[in-house]
Amino acid sequence: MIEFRFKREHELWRKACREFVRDEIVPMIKPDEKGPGHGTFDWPIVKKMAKQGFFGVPFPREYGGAGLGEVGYCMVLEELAAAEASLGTTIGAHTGIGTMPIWLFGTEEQRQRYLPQLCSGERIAAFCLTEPTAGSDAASIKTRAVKDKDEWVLNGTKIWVTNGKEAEVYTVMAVTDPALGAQGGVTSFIVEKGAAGMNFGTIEDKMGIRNSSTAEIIFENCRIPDENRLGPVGEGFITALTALDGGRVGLGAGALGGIKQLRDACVRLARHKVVDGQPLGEHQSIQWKLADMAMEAFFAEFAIYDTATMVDAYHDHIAHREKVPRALREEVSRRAAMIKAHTSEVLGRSVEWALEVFGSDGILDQWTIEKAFRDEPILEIFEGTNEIQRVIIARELLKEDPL
Amino acid sequence: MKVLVLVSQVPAKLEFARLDKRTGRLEFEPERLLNPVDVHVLSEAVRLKEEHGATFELLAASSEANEDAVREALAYGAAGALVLTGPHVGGADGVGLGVAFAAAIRHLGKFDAILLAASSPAPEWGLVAGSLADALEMPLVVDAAHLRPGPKWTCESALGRDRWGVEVQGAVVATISDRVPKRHPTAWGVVDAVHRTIVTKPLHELDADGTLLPRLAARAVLKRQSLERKAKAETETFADDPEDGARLVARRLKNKGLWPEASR
Repeated sequence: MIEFRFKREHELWRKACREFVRDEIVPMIKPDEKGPGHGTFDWPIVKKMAKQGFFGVPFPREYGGAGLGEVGYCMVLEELAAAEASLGTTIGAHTGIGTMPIWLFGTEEQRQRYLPQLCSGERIAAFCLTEPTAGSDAASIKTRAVKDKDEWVLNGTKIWVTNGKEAEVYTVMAVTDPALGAQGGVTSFIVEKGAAGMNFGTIEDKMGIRNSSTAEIIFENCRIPDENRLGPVGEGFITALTALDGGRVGLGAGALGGIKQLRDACVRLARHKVVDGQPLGEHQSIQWKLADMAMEAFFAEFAIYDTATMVDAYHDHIAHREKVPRALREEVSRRAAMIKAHTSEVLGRSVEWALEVFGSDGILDQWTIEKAFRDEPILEIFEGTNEIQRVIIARELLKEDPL
Repeated sequence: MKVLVLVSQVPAKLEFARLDKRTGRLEFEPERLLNPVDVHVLSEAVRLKEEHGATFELLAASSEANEDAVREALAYGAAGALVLTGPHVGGADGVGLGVAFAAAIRHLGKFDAILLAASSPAPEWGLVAGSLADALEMPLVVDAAHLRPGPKWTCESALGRDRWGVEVQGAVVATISDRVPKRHPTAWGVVDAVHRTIVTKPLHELDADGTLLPRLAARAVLKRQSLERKAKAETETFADDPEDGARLVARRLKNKGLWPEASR
């Protein structure tokens, strides 16, 4: 029999997190004004979240984090996403893929130098992998890093950088040996805002998650000291994929928060709205939708938090420079892909179910459904499209020999 | 500056309340949460810590294990916690509890301020502050907010519909208003709370001269009788279906906002 229980600190953290978001964040959230423009990256909210410790949840105490691991991090994303998907996106990009590689693969000097400020939210991190000609096929990135004495010279363009212009520390993947390709030819670097030759391009105007920042970053002969190289030369692709595994579980937690938010909104409406002389919830067609959302949330919750504990073990091995058991690495990677693809698609279906429950009210601005409809699609795309997740899952399956 | 915060507990899930037909008393699941009104007191202590460098500790009393409630309070950044235990605690009325807290505070040492909730779902709580201040011979400020240390403590205090500026010489006992804005535990506070040691002390160990427990025992009998009368009345009211009766009581308290929301 499988039994999953949260640790005491996680139970306390869940409650603290939920009440903080409800009492202090929700009242501050501004509408994500639609129309031309790129939304508002809300610094007052970000600073409030930082003071609460939201930016360093999974990282060890000695580097300024809270030490609550991937489980605590997933809780933050779940609670934030239920309130405003953009905030979950900001924290996710900072923590899961921006800062995590520095903890996992950084030297002790790099950890001491960057993590305290990143954990306190004094500085925000971002992750630069995608390029105009390398999205799902991340292995074909073109940004080059060429060694010049004690420096590396970066040239290339990164797009879809979440926290783009607001971040100050960037984890950047670049090709150091084109002949070797992704396996051995990519290296990661820590680039600080203000580095000569680093410039911002387009600030994206998005349909959803409009209160998060998404930017294009252009490197033109950008010189980075070798001490900012993150991990060994040629292992940058491993750095990226490892960060993305944990990030995808967090992304699933964000989707779970969205599913629960929609479920709760539908339940409230079904209890109070009267149609044809009886509460909406008395209609079987409505009950089925509520039940579907509840079932999906239940199973997603178990899968996410059970996998989050596995991610913690996985990260501990890497951070302590221990050999990661192959079975653990593969299991985390496969589960993360399944969680990301499944929960984001369930969220998409939940938006449709909620629209059916709300009827024409659902398309009005005043309800959460309209915003969820705009916020949801990106979850099926970023940190690896769901098609790519399916490729990862299938490859893992085919590797196994059931006979 | 040392501050002491008195905290209490409430049942975590009122939905599971039952009336015990044999004893006629309301029974709850053993899980306990921090009393929601204490959040305002803890928030005032956090403000004193942030703005004036205060450290604060917790004092609670419980006849049953209430570690969860105390840990929740510790997560606000308290340096430590003492829980008074023993059979007399559960039956003590407000005056008796104040006397017991005073004995514990003498044991703990000197504090510049002793803070507790101005209101509580438990009716006897209203007597605790007065009894405590009297036993410690300290001034009492009621329904206070915005405490500021200095040569004298200053704060706002509400009496009836009016608000007053209050100055107090020396250490003070203050009941904290629920007007104080709520704060929430930080991620670091939560982790610290789990690793802090909660000290428990049987009440009889504080009764060095043998005068405390007899006073509490006498009051405890009185209180038990009063509780039993009250529970009997509830039983009679809901005699047909005690379980539904308990739910009604639960809902009534919940509607008054006296209990935290059930978890999602």
